[in-house]
Amino acid sequence: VSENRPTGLREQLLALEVPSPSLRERYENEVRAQLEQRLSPLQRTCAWLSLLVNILLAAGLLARAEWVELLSVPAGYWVLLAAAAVGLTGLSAWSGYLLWRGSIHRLGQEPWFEAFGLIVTGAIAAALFWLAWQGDNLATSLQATAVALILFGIVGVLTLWSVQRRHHLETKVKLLELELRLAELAERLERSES
Amino acid sequence: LVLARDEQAIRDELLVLRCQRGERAAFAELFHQWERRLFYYVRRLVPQEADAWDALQKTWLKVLRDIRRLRDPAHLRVWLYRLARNTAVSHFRLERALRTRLESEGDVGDMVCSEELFQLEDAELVHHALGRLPLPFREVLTLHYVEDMSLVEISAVLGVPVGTVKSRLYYAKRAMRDLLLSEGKRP
Repeated sequence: VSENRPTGLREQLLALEVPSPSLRERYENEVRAQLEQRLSPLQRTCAWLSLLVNILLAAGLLARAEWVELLSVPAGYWVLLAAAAVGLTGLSAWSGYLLWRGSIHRLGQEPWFEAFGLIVTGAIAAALFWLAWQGDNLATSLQATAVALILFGIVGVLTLWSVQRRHHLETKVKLLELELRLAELAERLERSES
Repeated sequence: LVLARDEQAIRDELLVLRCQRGERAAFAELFHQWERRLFYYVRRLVPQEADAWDALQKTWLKVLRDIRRLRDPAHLRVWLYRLARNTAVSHFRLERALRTRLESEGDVGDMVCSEELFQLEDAELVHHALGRLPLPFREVLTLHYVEDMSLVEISAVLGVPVGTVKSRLYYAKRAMRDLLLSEGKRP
């Protein structure tokens, strides 16, 4: 005897599984709580520290008396320092936003973490360059420059990788959207023919 | 105009990519689309409803954490069911119940695919019988009837060879028929 599975058997089976409203509600609340995690006291303290320290660091970078002198150094150098200051300000702004919200939403945070990681590493590299430039000791300056170059290399590679991955994802999404439109069109054609 | 894949498969793949892009709406859609089906499956694995909701909640956590690492979005269905199964099995210590060698299980060769055992028209009968079969039979039949999965897909979810799925499915259907016959219901 061949099996003749009725259409919509899945839907019928699913309809027969009636969940208890109270358990379902508890589940929904727990899932929501997982997605929107409230800041723990430790996380709150870290966010406050990040907010204050980053603002101070950014302000310190911008307010240095040597800043004006730096303008006479080779082009691009002060831009890096400005980028570091912007990164630090961004970090403090993000910390402030978290404190204001009182919670972290787990979805879609990764790109921001990545971007901030890259900015901070870039800022550290820029600061090392600055130290190397200021230092009187040639050996120490060379060491600081080497470390800064390595950090810049890492930032560069990670940025390229991240951009390439994002582009790859965007291309795949566009291709799939196109494929979906074709599939819809094919279905319409089929319907009109029949 | 002939396309290699159906619309639903393309939509599923697109949904995964949107989740990988970090779109919140895509996650909401993923939850909405799969929640009932996964719950039905997990509910067949664990004895209490509360446990099934717990397992499902833990499954979603893993989905959120790992979906960016899902290399082939076309395998979303198998991946979700495998995650749900592994979560339920490890959390509720079902390994023993699932490893139980069923006496009726044996090699059935190529019999299963060509020879179906009975007609299934009444979802209520299937639903009722599913709850009374041994766990390994129950889960293989759930994947077969609810998801209409192929043998290869079921083997990927369960982590057993295709041959084992084949014979398990054959004996599971037979067990279901016997159960319904013994209760005087027409299978």
